[in-house]
Amino acid sequence: MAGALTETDDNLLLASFRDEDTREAAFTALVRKYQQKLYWHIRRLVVGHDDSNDILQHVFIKMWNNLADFRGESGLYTWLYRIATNETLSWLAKEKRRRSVPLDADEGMLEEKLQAQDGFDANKLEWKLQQAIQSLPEKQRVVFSLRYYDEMPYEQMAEILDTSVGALKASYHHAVKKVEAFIKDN
Amino acid sequence: MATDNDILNELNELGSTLVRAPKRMPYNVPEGYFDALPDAMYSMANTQAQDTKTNPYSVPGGYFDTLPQQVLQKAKQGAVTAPEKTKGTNIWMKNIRWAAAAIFIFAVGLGSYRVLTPQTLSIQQQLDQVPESVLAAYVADNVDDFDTELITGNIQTTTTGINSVDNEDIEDYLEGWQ
Repeated sequence: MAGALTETDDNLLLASFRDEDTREAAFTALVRKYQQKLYWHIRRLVVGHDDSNDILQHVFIKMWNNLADFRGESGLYTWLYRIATNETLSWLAKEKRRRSVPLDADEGMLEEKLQAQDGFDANKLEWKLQQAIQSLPEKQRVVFSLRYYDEMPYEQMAEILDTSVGALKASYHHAVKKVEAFIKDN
Repeated sequence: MATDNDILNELNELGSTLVRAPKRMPYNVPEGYFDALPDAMYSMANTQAQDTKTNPYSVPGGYFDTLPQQVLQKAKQGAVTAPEKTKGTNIWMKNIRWAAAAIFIFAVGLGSYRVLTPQTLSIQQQLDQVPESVLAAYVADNVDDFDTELITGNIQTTTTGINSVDNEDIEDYLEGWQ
């Protein structure tokens, strides 16, 4: 039952979720469908698995609590990304407060987490790219991650981040240049 | 969803070297994490939902089973009244009852005092209270010849008294009647 539901579209899953008898199957199907995309979106921003797991759980708990009232004004995919992004930014703000890190300077905190990852090798390009991304300002990091890794259209990003398409394009272009410069200089 | 080509074209337009950068994430994820997550999340969400709905207050055992009968019974007895109104009436009624009790005690005390205290009325006052018919019946039954002579003697004495009154006094008296 749950396996069959994973192939259906979001509207059918939503209808199933609103039915008490099929709620469990619909919920697990939605988690299965979106878990990896949301997980990697979160993890690229907070680096550590445990932190990513905590945030992802909050996202899915929120989905459980609010999905029955979801009006569908935006797509489910967009709605979940917005929740995940907001949860992640809230977590980063709390973490910075906890560590007494200035709100506009969290790259040191994330660099530390990055270097603590299994298999970290600063000479390998994939790790260097992650270091470059963590050196970006917070909002630029989100924009770069959504565009470069999730290949999200600007219009959808604008819905998630409540920002204009033009501003997002400019932000992404700046981010690309900074990442390049970081890789070149390190 | 933008395609990979869209992203690459954009990077090409920007002249970025990231076109050739690997997109593979170097981070490790615990084995089986994504396989177990959906069921684990359902269990967590369901438990959280139940915890949230759990009422922390307790109710005596069987309270709701017996409540309808209790209310019905009280309604039949007419005992169900507006609490505040009943409370106000009770306070007023209590005051009235205390006042009534005080008046009753005072009345009983006064009555007892009057009954138990000896009468101090004069003989004249007592005789004034006796009706004429009772006096006539008493005279008829109890006055004998001896008593008649005694009474006649007092009358004669009285007549003698009249003879001693001056004529002028009699004339003044008679003028007063005219």
